[in-house]
Amino acid sequence: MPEAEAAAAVSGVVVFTDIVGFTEFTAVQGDAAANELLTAQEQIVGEELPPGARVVKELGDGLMLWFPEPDAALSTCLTLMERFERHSEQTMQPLWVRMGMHWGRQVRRRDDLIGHDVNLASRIADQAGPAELLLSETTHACLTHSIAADRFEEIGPVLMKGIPNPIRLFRALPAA
Amino acid sequence: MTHRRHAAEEPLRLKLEGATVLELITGSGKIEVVADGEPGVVTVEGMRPPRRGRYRRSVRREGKRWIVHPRPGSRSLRAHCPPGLNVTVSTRSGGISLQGPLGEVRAAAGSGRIEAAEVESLEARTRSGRIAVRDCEGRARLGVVSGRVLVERAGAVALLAVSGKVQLREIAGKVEACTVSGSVQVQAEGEDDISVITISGNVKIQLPLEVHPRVEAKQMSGKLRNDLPEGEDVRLRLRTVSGNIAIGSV
Repeated sequence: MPEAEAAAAVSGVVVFTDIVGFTEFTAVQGDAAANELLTAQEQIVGEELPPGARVVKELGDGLMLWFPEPDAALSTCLTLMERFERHSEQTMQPLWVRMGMHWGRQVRRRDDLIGHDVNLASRIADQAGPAELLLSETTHACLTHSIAADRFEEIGPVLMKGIPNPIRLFRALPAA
Repeated sequence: MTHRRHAAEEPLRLKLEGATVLELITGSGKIEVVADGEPGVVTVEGMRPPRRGRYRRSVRREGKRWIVHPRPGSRSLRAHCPPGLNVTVSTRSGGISLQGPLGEVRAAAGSGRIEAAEVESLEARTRSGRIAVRDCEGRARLGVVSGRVLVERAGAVALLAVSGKVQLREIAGKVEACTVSGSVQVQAEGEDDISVITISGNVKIQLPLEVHPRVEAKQMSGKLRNDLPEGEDVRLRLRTVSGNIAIGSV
């Protein structure tokens, strides 16, 4: 690994989020309602991010998040899912956020993070459905036992665009 | 010996020997699994003839799993397995056909239709393509970005979809469906709760006449029509932003 790259490399969990149906919602309810939805997402994420974690960047209606370690990443994302669902139920604003999570190595590029593991996290998010949280086998293997095994469902190996090998995915379920 | 030496065109023959899962993966190509094989043996057609008589990376055993993943390149695979085997299949592009009786089934297609008949339980997802389930004894958990979904009979359904018409018929237990657009029709036996959430799709729920549901509907716009007398037999949790809701008898 080149010295400059090694110096900029970090290890952690990258999470991509995306509001499913945002385009349809905006078309039906208008720009002001769409803006309110994004504000609600921003506020909830801001309240729940633990110390050390950060919003790397906003991607339209989606976010790229970074966490220093997998347990905190997963528990935060499960909390986010629950809060998004509660918000949707209370306000009828469909905050249906899908999420993809992958633990690996990233390279810093100014405030951004790049690299294969970042791309993989993005591809995993693409696989998720509305209000679904998916994680790679690598991430699953890095978790300690603080979250019960019955809160994961194995999806199996999935072949994703641009990723040469199949990635075994798991679904994380919110508390019953 | 785990798998036999093969001549060209001869199918790969695997002895299960305690394996409970068959996993088939192909980069691009159709995957078919038929549960008409002899006990304890799986045969797989479509593999490239092995080099020096052995499949090195393409066929391997990991614990209780037999994994068949032709490399390099893409192949269409057809497997014959004993009834009741658990099967996991994945293709980047190409259809998947699963003809049971099979056990727990997982199927993922980047693009391509997924058809499953006679499975114990099903986890299926495709980004673009139709999902058709003929008979799933337990829960069918389905994900589709763009494509129609038809379930003819299932114990329960959990569906996450973006666009495409959804038809769920003869569902014995719980239904949870979340779609962005595309209509959702549910014909259920009324034994368990039904939850349907959409942004712009219309929702139609059909229950036996003697079932009196508790309707919890929320809409921002759209009409609600309920032809069934309300009661406490089953809970219908229905949410739409702009779609219509209709509740009636089968």
